[in-house]
Amino acid sequence: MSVQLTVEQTAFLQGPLSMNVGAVGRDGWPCVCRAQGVMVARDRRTLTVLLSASRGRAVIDAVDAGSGITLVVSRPSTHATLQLKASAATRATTGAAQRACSARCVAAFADELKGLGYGAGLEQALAALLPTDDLLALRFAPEIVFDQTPGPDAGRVLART
Amino acid sequence: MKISLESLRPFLDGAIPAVVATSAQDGTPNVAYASQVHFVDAEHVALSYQFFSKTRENVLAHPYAQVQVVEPAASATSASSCITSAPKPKVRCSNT
Repeated sequence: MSVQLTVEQTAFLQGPLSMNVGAVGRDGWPCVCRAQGVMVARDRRTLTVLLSASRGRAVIDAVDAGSGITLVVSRPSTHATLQLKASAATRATTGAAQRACSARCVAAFADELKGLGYGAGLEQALAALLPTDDLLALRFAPEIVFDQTPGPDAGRVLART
Repeated sequence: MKISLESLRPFLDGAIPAVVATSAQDGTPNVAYASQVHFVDAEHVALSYQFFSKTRENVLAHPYAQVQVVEPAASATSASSCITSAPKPKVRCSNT
């Protein structure tokens, strides 16, 4: 069973976002890495998160070992933040569509940061942080969605199964 | 690659928010943004928890955490590092 994201949440996930995905290793250690794209299924019940296989090794290993997964996305200009969790995730194939999605998400994120005054060299830094040459996809069906925008409502449950 | 916490001090100035990963007692992961990670000494960092209710709850129940910090210098190539913390108050740092 999964939640169905709202149209507004789906639109937010297509915006210029900072994205991080977390899991917990078999040894109990939490781990986190940057994600660099998210695709929402047509029925708005499944997400595919794109990340670098090399930078995300710990998260991928944890998910492969049966960890739950969490995705946190935040828009830098507003700090509006969502956290979406599921008890499991699976690997999904990557191809041209996923590479295009990642490139679009990273470019949108770069534009957002430029608008906030982050200076020259941003593309170079993001290219180092968010390489598109070893993309890996993790698919999950969110079971709970939180508003995590900083403030008194942080942690409020927006939807759950 | 083992690196020192001291060498990560430029990562901790808050120019780019850090990210804190924790685990609930049942193994559910949680990730939260932290505007600043404070350098305490060669083996400690500190986080405030104004909006960290779940992070704080998790750490109290399961005292393991990972903090991802990003080098603010735009030209950095090894731009992201992780600081991990266990019950014994020591941190280990690694490039990611």
